[in-house]
Amino acid sequence: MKVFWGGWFAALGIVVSSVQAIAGGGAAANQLLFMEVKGVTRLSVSGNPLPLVITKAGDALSPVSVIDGSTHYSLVTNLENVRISASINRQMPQGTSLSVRLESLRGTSCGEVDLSQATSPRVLVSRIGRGTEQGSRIFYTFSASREIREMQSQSRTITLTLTD
Amino acid sequence: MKSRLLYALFFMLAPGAAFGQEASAVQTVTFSVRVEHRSALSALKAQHGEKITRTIELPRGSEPSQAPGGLNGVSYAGKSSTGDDRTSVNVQKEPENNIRQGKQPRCVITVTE
Repeated sequence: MKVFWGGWFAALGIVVSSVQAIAGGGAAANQLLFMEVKGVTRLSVSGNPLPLVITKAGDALSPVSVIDGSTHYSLVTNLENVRISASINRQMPQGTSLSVRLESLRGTSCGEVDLSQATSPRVLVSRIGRGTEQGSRIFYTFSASREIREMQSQSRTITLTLTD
Repeated sequence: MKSRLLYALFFMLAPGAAFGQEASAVQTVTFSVRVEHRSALSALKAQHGEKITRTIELPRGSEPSQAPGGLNGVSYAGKSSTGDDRTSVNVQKEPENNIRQGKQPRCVITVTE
């Protein structure tokens, strides 16, 4: 997990004036106070999903896709209208696809999003409001066309990003 | 005083607003496609999602153990040749009097999964 704390929130400069008025003469002293509330975005996942294995029996009844929902994500933000997007480090092999769906209580899930070619980020959840979300499930679906008879185990890295 | 205000303005604009906020998490997804040599019976079971019963009649004179692997991989007890569990396997032969009449015994295997 990578956490980046930045100063999105505006620094507030307040001029505090202390004026002493003295009849017949005066003296003034000014102070500048800086206050800041930093924007917070944190995102974490519970681990890696279980291996997605399609088992084919060599007939038309074989399943062609499998789903894993064994992992969860949690987030914290004090910002409004943030979103979660995802990208894959390398395209999926020809004839296969990988999609992901994130449950969300604080935002709007975009449903199942195909990441097969998504080397640039795709939005999974949008309009996430200020607050926390814990233990929301991540669903991965791996599909293979019927032409794929057998394929050795491969892996891809999925990067989930919480951003404003 | 003027320089202080400029300083304040810099801090108001520079740090976060220019670059936005970002946090990320990484998952590794592993996937593969395997071929499993299952019996046709198992495939039917997978299709129906419930127990099924099939009756297989072997050629006259056959023993249950002679059920060829191509005929759904049936064996006459316990597990099939492909290792599928069977909850019930029933082997019947024709009554003895049929055999005495010169007929070869008929072998019927009923398999329930």
